[in-house]
Amino acid sequence: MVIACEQKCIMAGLGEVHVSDDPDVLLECLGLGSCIGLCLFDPIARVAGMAHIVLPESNRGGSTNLPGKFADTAVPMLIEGMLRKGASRTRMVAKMAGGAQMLQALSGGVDLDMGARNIKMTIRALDKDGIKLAASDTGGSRGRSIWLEVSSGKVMVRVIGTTPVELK
Amino acid sequence: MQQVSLLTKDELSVWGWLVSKGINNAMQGLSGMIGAELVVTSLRMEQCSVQQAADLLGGPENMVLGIYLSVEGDATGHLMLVHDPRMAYNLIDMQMGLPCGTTQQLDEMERSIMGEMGNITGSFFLNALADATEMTLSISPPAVMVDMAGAILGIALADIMKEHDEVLVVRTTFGTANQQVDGNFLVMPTMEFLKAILKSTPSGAKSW
Repeated sequence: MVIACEQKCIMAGLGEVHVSDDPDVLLECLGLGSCIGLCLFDPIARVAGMAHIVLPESNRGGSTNLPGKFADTAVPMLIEGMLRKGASRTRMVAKMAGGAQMLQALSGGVDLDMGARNIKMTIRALDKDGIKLAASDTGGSRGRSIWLEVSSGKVMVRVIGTTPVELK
Repeated sequence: MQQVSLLTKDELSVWGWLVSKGINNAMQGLSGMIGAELVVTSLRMEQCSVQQAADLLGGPENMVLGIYLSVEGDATGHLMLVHDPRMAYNLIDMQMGLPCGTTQQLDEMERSIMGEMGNITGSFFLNALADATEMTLSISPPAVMVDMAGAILGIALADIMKEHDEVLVVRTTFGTANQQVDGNFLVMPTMEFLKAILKSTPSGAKSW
């Protein structure tokens, strides 16, 4: 897979969910820090989806038009989008990247643990829906980008300053 | 979806006035530290979707040097100094009295200098706001990192997105007269911060 967007690149921005069955499409999440780039793929139906998860839980009550921003709402929404395109829940496999801890120490009100909580809640939401997590590249303290090729389900991850590697 | 304004026109005016005072103070502080006069080349206050925020810094994958500070005290928010890494190294050279181009990487000492620049800029900015509003405002210790713009901005955006999908960003670009250095100073308040600070601003405050 060449990541130069010779394919049709669709970027999942913060809190966005995208699903595609177009074999020419490459889904991408760029510049992930504590956020999670979650990929789902059905290898038989060749349907792929990606969510850019920002926060672990949707229980704060703030209004949003981006249900994809919370792990606990993004996962069901992504699955539903995949099902609508003809995917089967039992065939879906998940891969994900992100969840870094960008700040090592602060005395302020910033949630240092956000990346870890995003990872935990995403795994919990996948478990709840019976989706197998096949591979992940999470944690650490560096930014990442992730790409998902719809035609093959191949997932590539790039950590800043390195070349992209396939997530297997 | 139709964009809903986070602030009224009057509130924006007052916020603009406060920010302008803060930025001028911050540039004075930073100029004093590096020993060269920094001038504001543009000051833009804009409301954008969270997805568009990284475009302000050249896109989510753009490698930048960021100094992050969280605001503490009577209100909370986020401040960031963001530079192209080469420009940041030039700032370090100016601070150390070295020819521009000498510093090539970010070791412990360089990191400490950048952190202090963030400290000075953030403190001077907040002092001006605190003076105008009689609030108690302080900053966290600075966090210096070289990473993707999206990953660094995500620190502030994750907090802001707990309540909103839009963000009000003040972006100031600044530089020296001979353009040896330039940089961005971002102010990204939470709505809680804006409400608290606007409530504390004297009614006779000037408009921007």
